[in-house]
Amino acid sequence: MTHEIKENMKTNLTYEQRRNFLLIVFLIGVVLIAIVAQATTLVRLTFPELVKNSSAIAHVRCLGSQAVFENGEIWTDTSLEVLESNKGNLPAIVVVRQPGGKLAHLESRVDGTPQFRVGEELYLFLEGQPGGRFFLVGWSQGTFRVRRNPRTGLTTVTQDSAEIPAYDQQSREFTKTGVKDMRLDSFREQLRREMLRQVP
Amino acid sequence: MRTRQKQILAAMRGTLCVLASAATVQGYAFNMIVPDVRQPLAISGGSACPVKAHHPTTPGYLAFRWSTSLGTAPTSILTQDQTPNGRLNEIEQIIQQSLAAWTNVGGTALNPSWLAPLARVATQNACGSDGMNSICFDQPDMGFTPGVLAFTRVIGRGPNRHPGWRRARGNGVRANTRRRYLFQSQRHFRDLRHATGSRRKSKILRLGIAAHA
Repeated sequence: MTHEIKENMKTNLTYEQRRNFLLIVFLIGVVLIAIVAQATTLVRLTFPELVKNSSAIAHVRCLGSQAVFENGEIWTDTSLEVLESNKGNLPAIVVVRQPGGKLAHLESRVDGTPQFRVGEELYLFLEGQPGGRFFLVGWSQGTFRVRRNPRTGLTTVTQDSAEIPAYDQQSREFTKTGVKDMRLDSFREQLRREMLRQVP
Repeated sequence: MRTRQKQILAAMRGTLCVLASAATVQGYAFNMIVPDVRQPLAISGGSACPVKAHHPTTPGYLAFRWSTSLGTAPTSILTQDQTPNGRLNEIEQIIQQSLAAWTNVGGTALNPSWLAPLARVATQNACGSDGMNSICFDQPDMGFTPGVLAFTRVIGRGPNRHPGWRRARGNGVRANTRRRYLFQSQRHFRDLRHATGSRRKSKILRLGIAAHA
C-alpha cells in the first residue's frame, strides 16, 4: 500500500504539489525541533545517587499548589499529603517548592520542573528540613508517578525523567534513562534494598 | 487517486496545524525582550515596549562579576595557592578560562573581546534579579538541588495583561494572544566546571548573555 502511494505520488503529483509536500515535511521538522528544545540542563543521577542525595523519600498525594513571590522570583509551593515515609521524618503534610509559576499577570516558566495534579500519587525524593520547605532532588529525576491501570489493576511507577535526556558526565552525552512502568512492589523493593545498602 | 493524494496532504496540513499550536504555547519570542519595568530605570530603560535583544558590538560590552562569598552550607574549593589573594586569583583565573571556552565554541556569536574585565563582589546572593551578569558558587538559591546544573526562567505575560502592555500597544505594538512575549530571561548556572565539551550548554550561555546584556 505504501509502495503504491509512493509510486502514484511520484508519477501523478505536479511540481507544485511536490513542492508543497516538501515544504510541509520541512515545517513539521522545524516544529518538532521547537517542541523538544529545553532550557534546563540536568546532570544524570543514578538511583543510588538519588537515594543518597535525598534527606527524605516519601509516597505522597498532591493536595494542591500555590504560587508565591519571594526574593524577587515566582515559586510554586505544592502541598502533599504523606501516605508513607520511606526515608527521613516527615510531617503529615509537606510543602515542596519549585521555581516558576503563575502569579497575577506574570508567568515564570522553567522547563523541566514537574507539574502535579490534585489527587495524584507520587514517590518524591526530597531535600530539606522537617518544619521547612522541601525541594525536589534532580527535579524530574526525583519524581516518580504512581499509576493504576483500571483494566488490569496493575500499579506501576514511572520516573518523570525517563523521557527527558539528561547530561551524563561519563559519556559527556545527553541520554534518556530511568524507571519506566515498573511494578509498584518492585519499585518499593528496589528502594528498600538501596536504602539498606547505604546504611553506614 | 488524486483524491487520496489530496487526503494525505490535508491530513499532513492538519497535523502541522496541531503541532504548530503546541509549539506556540511555549511562547518564546526569539531575540526579543521586554524590559522588566519593576527594575530601576537604569536597568529597565523605562519602557515596556518589546525590543530586540541587545547584541554586543563593542569591546568590553558584556560585564561580568563573580561573588567571592560562599553559601552557608559547608563547601570547599581547593586551590593550589593558599594565600588569601592567591586563592581568589586562582578561582578568577578558572572562571576566565571557562568564559574563554564559551567564546571558542563553533557557532557561537560571542567574541572574546566583548567581555569586560571580570569584577569581584563580596555580596552574598549576588545572583539575584538585579539585571547584572553574576557568577556565584554554592549560593543558597532555592532553585538548585542535586542534579540540576542550569535552568532558565522565562517571565512572560500571563492571562491578564501587564500594565505596561497597554502602553506598548499604544506605541504600535500589536497584541498577539497566541504568544506570550518575553519579559525577562535569567539563566542560572550551578557552576562552570563542565563548561568545555558541551555545545548544548554553550548555546544556553550564549543566549543568556544576549538576554542579559
